[in-house]
Amino acid sequence: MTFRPVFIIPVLVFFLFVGVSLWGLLAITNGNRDTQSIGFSMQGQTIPSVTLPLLKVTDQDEFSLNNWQGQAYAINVWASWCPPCRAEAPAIERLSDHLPVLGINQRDEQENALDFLNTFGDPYTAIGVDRDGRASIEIGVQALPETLIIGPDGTIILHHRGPIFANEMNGVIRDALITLGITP
Amino acid sequence: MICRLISQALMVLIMVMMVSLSGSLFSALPTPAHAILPEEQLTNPADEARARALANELRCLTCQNQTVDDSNSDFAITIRSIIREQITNGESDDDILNYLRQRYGDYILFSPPFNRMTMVLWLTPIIVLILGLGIIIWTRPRLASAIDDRKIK
Repeated sequence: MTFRPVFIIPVLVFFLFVGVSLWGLLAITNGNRDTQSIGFSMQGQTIPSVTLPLLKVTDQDEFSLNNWQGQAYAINVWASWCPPCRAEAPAIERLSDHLPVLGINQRDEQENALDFLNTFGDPYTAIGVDRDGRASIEIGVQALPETLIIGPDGTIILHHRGPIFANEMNGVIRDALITLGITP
Repeated sequence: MICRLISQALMVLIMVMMVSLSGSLFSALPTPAHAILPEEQLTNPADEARARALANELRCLTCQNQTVDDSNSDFAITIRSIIREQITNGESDDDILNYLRQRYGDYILFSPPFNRMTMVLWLTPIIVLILGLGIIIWTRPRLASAIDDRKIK
């Protein structure tokens, strides 16, 4: 029986294939890779213009992102039916100490939304009502809650998908505020 | 002999795996469910067909491996209404896909486009197929002649 080096190739390819598959599988089960996150957002692009009706009656008659051109602000997309939105309420309150936070209230009932603000606090400078979720898609939102930080020139400095807790406040949010020259 | 057979069998196995994997990449996904509601549909059948075809190419990002056409989720319903509105406004298929790619990246497309990032994904099955066929063709005559030699003896 003769041994030819060429027979090694299929064995090597086979183990390479098994190895890569196992690595992928283990990386997911170890939690190193989030299979739910798409890892892409409009971060770095310019925020599209969005105009919405207001949740509460004020002296203004509409909620328009164009009006905020020239200053830094944050957008928080939330709803009363969204449990993680309740969990992140204290963090959004803290964020509003540093810059104006505009709320986009998505697919909600007005009464429930107002109840939510009474219970968990209202850190928002203005709240727009996105009844059918179209405005959320316009600014690249996937699922609630999501928070964006916008620079004075309209650039999206940060688009964070998911709730904001202490980790995010001390991490991505802090970094975004420093980029804007705000002391966190 | 055994060494050769095992190595050929492994190669065939890998090739079958690669071909079946690439098959699922190349083929259009079947749509068993009809999530779309009558009131969502456009009156012009050609426009409606375009809307359905586009929705079939898009991933519902809040679902587990469902297309926008398949899903009943809020996200999918909203994307479907955006597709139909943009078709009504006279936008091309590319305009609509670019609008969504600008917001959600290539991930929203079920077939990843061929680029530097996805080259390995698209080319590996083809390379392994050629490599495997090459090894089989190269080793076969020797296998046949080995059997012939034994018969003669």
